[in-house]
Amino acid sequence: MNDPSLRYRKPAGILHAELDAEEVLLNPQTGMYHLVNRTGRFLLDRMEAGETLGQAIRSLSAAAGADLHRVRGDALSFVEAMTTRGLLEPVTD
Amino acid sequence: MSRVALALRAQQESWRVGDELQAAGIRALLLKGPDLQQRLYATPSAYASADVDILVGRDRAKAACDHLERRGWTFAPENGLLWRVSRAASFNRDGFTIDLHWGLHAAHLPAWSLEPLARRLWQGAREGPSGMLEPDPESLLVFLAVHAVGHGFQRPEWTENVRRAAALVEDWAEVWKIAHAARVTNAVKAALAAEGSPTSTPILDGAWGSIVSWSTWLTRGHFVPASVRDRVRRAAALGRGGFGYLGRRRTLLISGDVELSVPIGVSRPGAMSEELAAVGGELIRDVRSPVVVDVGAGAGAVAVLIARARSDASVQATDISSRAVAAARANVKRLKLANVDVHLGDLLDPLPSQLRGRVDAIVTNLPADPPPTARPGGSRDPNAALVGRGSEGMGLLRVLASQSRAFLRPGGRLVVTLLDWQWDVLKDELGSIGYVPLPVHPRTATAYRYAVVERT
Repeated sequence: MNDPSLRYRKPAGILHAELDAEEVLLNPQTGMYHLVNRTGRFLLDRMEAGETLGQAIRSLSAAAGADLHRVRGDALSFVEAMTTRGLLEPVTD
Repeated sequence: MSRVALALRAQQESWRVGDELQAAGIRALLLKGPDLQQRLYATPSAYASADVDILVGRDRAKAACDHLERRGWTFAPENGLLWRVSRAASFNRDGFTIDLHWGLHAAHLPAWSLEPLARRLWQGAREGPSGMLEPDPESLLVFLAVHAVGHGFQRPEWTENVRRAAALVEDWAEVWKIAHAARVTNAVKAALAAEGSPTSTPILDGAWGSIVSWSTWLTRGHFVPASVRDRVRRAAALGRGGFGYLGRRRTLLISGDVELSVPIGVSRPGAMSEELAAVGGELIRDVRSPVVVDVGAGAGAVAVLIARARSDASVQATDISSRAVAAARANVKRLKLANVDVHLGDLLDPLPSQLRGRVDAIVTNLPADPPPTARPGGSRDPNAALVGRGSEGMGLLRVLASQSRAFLRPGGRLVVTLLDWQWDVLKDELGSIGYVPLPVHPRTATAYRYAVVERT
């Protein structure tokens, strides 16, 4: 289970490129492409800027005007899926 | 999406090559590719580019070339005859191209004339995200300017590269010092002003530059019309591949006991032909008197193998090359196969109209490798057997898929041969025109796979 008090980032070696408002990721280890939608990008960008996952969730909820509880559930599932696929890792340094 | 996918794959390949060269003790400096685009545009896919340019030291050139070939990279047939003078050679693997340099060249100028610039690139280089070295902003600008001028400002992105590289410069005095030492001051000025035409902007400065330029223009035969030089280059490329006027006719055995005559200029069948025939055979296993089409049949290997395995099948083979069609017909006749018809023409155009809606399977190993630059392939192109159309190489596959709907019966299958990442891109497109993707067949010994779709 992912920890909202942590920040998550793309591991070194994950290749990525913007595609309109979305982002394409390529995991060289698996050779798989992944498309992150606008909402996912928002979360990733926020964490890239220094917010923890929990803070990013609150930012997203405020920006989208969506229920925090629901956003939290979706965001945690998203981060879970990304970490399972090796596309995100917790920042520990 | 396809341009992004291509860029990320090219980036992945270049990083892998960089790691391999480094492990072999060969320093590598990244000149151009997705990482340069990332540096200039904050994205690796600002424009279509399927090749990467890497510079190694001149004393490490042979080691680097040998290393690439041991790792499965193929010395590209289109390297021409004067690659040693240019100190550069292209290598292909899995549809990607690495342009390996051990000197810099521009237009017809030999590498030695740009030696000062090459030295300066190494001096200021620092490690980039790829793990390979990258030029400092000042020498990068001079290099890109020379590149743009050397190519006659052919592509707008090369001019834009210069503009963006200029925005990264921290020390303009250093830029002019580098340009002066390399005798390319005029070229840098012209590139920054985004001026010039292919013939009016000299690369090297002054009288010395003019002498070098004119003398190499003469000695490299650039006074010969480009069409003639292209033909010589193509002949050399064919010869390298074992075909063409410098190549030789081959008699090959496929599937253990089937002898095929493969003449000059026709693609050689091999293990992939046998695999494709096996895939096709599996698709018609439960069909009585199936109709099968082999598109881009070459000397007829796939058609012959299917026809031998299924005497009840009607096998139609097509190819755009008259030489290939003649070879295929000769092989069919010699093997006494009455159930194969070979047609001359593009893709499915030459098929009899009465086959519409009656075909059970269409198989193909059409050219689908992405070209180094977005140029179309064609029957006169030495890479016609490999390089596809469009920036990702899938132009022919798309046309074939569209045409196939008219000939395939509902439930009929189309098999295409392509790279993993190409299938990732093409799958959805085929779905949108009435195909259902089926489980792909196991990977071959190469990087290609056989993707099967069913017509709805």
